Amino acid sequence: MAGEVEAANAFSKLRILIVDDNAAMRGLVRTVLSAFGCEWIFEAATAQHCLATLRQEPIDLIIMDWKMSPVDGLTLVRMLRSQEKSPCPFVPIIMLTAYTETSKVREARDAGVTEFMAKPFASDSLYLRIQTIVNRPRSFVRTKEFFGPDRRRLKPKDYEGPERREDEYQTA
Amino acid sequence: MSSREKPIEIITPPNMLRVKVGGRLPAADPEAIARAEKALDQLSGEFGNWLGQEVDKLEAALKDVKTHGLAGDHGDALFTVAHDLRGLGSTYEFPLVTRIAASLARLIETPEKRSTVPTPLAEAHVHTIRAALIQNIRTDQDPVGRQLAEELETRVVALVGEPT
Repeated sequence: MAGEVEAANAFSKLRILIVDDNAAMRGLVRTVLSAFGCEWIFEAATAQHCLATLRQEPIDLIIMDWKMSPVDGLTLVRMLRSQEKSPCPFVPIIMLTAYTETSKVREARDAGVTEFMAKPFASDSLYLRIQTIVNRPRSFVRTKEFFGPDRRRLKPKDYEGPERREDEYQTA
Repeated sequence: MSSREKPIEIITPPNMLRVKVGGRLPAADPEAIARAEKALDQLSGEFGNWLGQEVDKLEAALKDVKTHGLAGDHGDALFTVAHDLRGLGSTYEFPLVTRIAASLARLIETPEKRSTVPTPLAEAHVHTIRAALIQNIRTDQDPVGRQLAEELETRVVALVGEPT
């Protein structure tokens, strides 16, 4: 298809940060990303290390665990979406977690994650999430209560109800 | 939508990632997936050892819990290892371990749950995971493995309810 690039070539240009306190899981994710063609893979075991890396490296994408200590992944996402304090409030974040409950997916989305992915993870699922982030990035939404990727994935064409998010306006 | 979400600003940043990689990624890339699967397969000889190390961590955390109780940091540490095992078991070719670890993680997920659930039920989960490794019972296709998993899950649901 026109405008498509070879995956290995594309991945070789991406700088991806894996944030997980479990070294084994970081190793598995690194293995898969390397096989995709990624050459710039960074790792962090804590939120503090993650923030330090983000201040030093122009990271394109974060793959993050939820259950970490002393600062958990959800708190870290909120910190990264804080426009006053974050080094990269727009960075795409894939939450890769063993939590699979619907309530957890909703909680992660409301914190500002871009994509949610359940462990145990499959390599094709990870590829698909990254492909979506590159090809169809979400717009960002800012309200008094929320800043992060638009939580509306679907825009049903047959929806005839009112626009519930009033006062909507676009910025480039 | 409540009034607290007004006004709303929609921001559409330029797609710098697509510019950086030079275009769109293919919707699917079987070669990339095959390379990843092959790379994981090359590691699979180590999966048994790595899973054993994670279960060692689980047993160490259980030992602390039996000494100090489930409430507090020790219970949280046991949950953390169980939660990690939930995510790793299937990758390490033991889906049954993922299933039982998921049940344990649900049992002791929050401080509120850890203050009320019986430690012996958490202990039964840990022992079942170790037994699965020793007996090389990898999936719930094994009737004993399935029966044990179902029994543990039933007792967990009776105590903490269905997943939400």
